[in-house]
Order: sequence, then C-alpha cells, then structure tokens
Amino acid sequence: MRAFLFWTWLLLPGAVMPPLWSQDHAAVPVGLEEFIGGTGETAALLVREDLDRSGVLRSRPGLADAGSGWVLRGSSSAGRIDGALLDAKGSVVFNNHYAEPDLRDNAHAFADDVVTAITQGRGIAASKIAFVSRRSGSTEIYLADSDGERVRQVTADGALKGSPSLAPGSILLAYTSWQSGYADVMLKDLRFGSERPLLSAPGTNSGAAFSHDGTRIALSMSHEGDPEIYVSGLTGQRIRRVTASRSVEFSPAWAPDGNRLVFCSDANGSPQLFVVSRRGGEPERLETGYRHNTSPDWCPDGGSIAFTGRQSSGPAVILYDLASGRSRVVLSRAEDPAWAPDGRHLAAVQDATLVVVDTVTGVKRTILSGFSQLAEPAWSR
Amino acid sequence: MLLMPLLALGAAGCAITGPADDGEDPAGSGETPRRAAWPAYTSSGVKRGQSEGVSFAGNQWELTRAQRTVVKAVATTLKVRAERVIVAGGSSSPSAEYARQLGQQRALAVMEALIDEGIPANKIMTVSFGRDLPGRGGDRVEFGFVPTGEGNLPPAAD
Repeated sequence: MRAFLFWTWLLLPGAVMPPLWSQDHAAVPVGLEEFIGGTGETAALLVREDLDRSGVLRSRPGLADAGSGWVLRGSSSAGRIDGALLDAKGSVVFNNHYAEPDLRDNAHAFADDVVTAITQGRGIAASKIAFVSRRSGSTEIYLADSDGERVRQVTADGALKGSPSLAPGSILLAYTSWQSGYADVMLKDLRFGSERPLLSAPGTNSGAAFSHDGTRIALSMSHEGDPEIYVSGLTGQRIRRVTASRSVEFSPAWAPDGNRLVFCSDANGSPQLFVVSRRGGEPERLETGYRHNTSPDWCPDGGSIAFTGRQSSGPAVILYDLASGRSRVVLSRAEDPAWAPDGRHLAAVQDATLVVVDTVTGVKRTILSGFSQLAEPAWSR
Repeated sequence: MLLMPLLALGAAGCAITGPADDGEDPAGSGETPRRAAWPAYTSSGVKRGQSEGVSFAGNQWELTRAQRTVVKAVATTLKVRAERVIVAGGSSSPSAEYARQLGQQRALAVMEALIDEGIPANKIMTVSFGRDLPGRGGDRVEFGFVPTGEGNLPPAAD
C-alpha cells in the first residue's frame, strides 16, 4: 500500500520531489601533459581547473592515467596558448592557437574547445555572470568570469539598477536603470562601454531577457495599462505585446527555440509560472507544486525550467521538468537561478553569496562572497 | 486616455490572453511610445511627504474604500494648488522584479483613482521603485507634487 501511494505521488503533476542526484554519473578523464613555455605552468593550472569545473570532464596528470585515451598537450608564453587535443590513437583532434591578451581568456577558450570536441556540448569556462550589488555604496551591475575571477563593475552612475541580462558572447548587457528618474531598460556594449536607453515608455520598463540567440528581448512594460509581457528587437523601435490581463505579468525568459516564453503572473493571487507563444495566445499554467514562483529561467536544453519557489521554510531553487510535470529542489535557502550555457550548471544567490551548482551531481561551489546585497545573477548564453 | 486600455483589459478578468498570432515579425508590430520629460521623484523640485501615502497588504493592489479616501484628498489638493503629481509605488516582496512590477501596478491603480476624481491623466506620472521606494519604503504608494513649470514638463492640455 505504501509503495502504491509513493508511486502515485511520483506521477502527480506538480508533485515536489526531494533532491535527486545522478549516482552513476562519471566524468570523462582527460590526460593533461605539462605545458611548456614561460606561462605554461599557470596555463595548465587554469585549463585543469576549467575541465574539472565542467562536470563532464576530469583532468588527470600525464598520459598514463588518462584511461579514456584523451590527452591535452600545450605550450604557453606571454599569455598565449598553443593547445592540442589527442584521441586514444594519438591522432590530433585539433591544434589551436589562442592569442587573446589575457592568459585567462586563452585558457578558458582552450578548455571550452576541449569540452565541445569530446562531448559535443557547450563549455562554460569563457562565459560570464552579471549580477547586482551595493558593494560600491550604490546599486550597480557587476560582471565576473564564471569561476568568480576578474570581477569588474560595469555601471557607476549611482542610480538604482536591477534585472541584468547578458547576450550570447557577453557582448551586450541589458539592465533596468532609474538614471532618468524612471525605470528604463538600458543596453550596454561591454566591449566599448557605450550604452543607450532601449525602452523608456511611460510606466516601468524592466525584467529584460535576451533570447538564446541574442536577437530579441522580452520584458515587462506598463504603458498600456498594467505590467504585461512584450517582445522587442534590439533597436527598441517596435514592440509586440504578448500578454493581456488585469494582473501583474513579469520576469519573462525565453525557450531555447525562441518561440515560447515562460513568465510569472499573479492573476491567481500569487505569482505562478505560465508558458506562452512569443506571438501571444492563451498561456498555459505550469503546476509546479509551489504557491509563490518567481525568477524563471528556461534550460538551454529545453527540458526544464529553474525558478525560485517560496514556502514557509523560505526560498529554494527548484527545477520543473516539462516532460513529467514534476519539481525537485536543487538548492535550499537559495533564489534567483540562472542557467549556464551548458544547460547543466545553475548560478543562484544563497546566504548572500553567489553559488554555482551542478544539477547532475549536486556539487556546489561558492564563487563570490563579500558583495553587499548581491542579487539577480544572469549567466551569458 | 490611459484609462481606456485599463478598462479594455479589465473585460478579460483574470484570463491572461494576448494578441493572436499574426505571423513572423521579428521587429514587433507596435511603435514604442516614449515617456514625456518629467522631473525625477527624488529631485529637489518635487515636494514629497506632503500627503498621506496609501498602504497595501500582501500582494494587494486594488484600492479599498479607505484607500480611495486618501486618494480623494490628494485629488482635492491637486485641484486647489494646480500642481501635477508623481505617483510612486513600492513593494516589500522578496522577489525584486515582482516588487518592481507590483509597485507599478499599485501606482497605476492610484492613478486610475485620481482620474476618477477628475484629475487629467497628463497631470499624473507613475514610477515604481520596487523594494527601494524612497522614504518609508515598504508596501506603499507615495505622492510627489510638482509645481507647474518645474522641470521640462509637457504643456497642459486641460
């Protein structure tokens, strides 16, 4: 009887599952030869750390222990890297030259190429995480490498800010700014530092989210009556309204195919998750099992949605599986999840720190602490 | 004028429906309006704290009779002084983005009530600060009075 009830519970849409980590997961070992050259030792260390953080690969020193037969060979001088990947037969899979000015960029690019060559998936080493903090005394936007290194403040005008979103490649940053006295969505070019208001309609323009291909932005606007979801191109000249209701619609996030959006609505009294076509139509409510759902982010593999679920015990980062309709807790006492481009790792805020969790193994790393009122992380695609 | 879309949306009740699919249109289909130039709520020329604000409970944004009484007093002040008003909304929701949009919804509800009391829409500007509403903060709407001629205001049409 007990077994029957348990399995019945598992099949219920909206059922909340306990944490469930894969027990048979095994990262592919990759042999790492010593890198020659003046900056070889540092380069090899960075590449090794990147491979181990990927979750799908694990570094092993030298040829003998590699096991799988994959071997990395490299040299580095003056920060540049020549890196090669060899397969079990000793054949060269690729041999690339990485010549960015900063050694870290070259190591991250090499590591991501290795991940892609072996797994056909995306690496996360070169990706960036934007977030909000009051570290400088005012609310500003910061940008960090995905390992928490090279943090830099990218806004500094002292005005209230929030809701950052990064385009693929971390070239463009969208965020909400009250610099004009009112909530506008700004678009900043992170290469040159230039920025301009993207959307400054009457009311509150906020919650901008880049589509996975970086060609569109979804956001909340309220110039037509109350906060609704809209879709815009990157010029902000023409917009399309997606929702229409007498309630608050906010925090849109794109499906990886760019055709659907997940967003929050309090039409039923408290914020719930809904999915809708980017062209509008009737939204479908997701039965997550949580009464208060905010900050959704659609996994790049398309299969699940991460969000903040709140209960009397506090916030938690939840994964909602779209195929089964079931939810599971990924991180307790945590909020504001943001997917990494690999569709495996999540960034979130937990106990005022920025953490990254591997949703397959459950391994969690704290990558930033000591940033006042750290909030709203956004991971580049 | 802002009231008309509000009423049109109200007819849909709690249903969340959007425009019908009209095919591929990457650039969108509507011209994006721009906000008229008004002074910031926090600027020195805006008189804050001169009127009782409106407090809200939980996720509430629709106005009760008691809240409408506060709004009516603000409308009377506006008619006497011939001033304009910035309606600033806030929320203490733990979700930063929900707080921003709920604060906006509260400011819009108060704006609608001011229009019901005879204040022209072009004398009202809304803003939401979410969890960072200046002053007492929290689940409130506050008022900032703008003397005529203060800042780069649009000409009055009334």
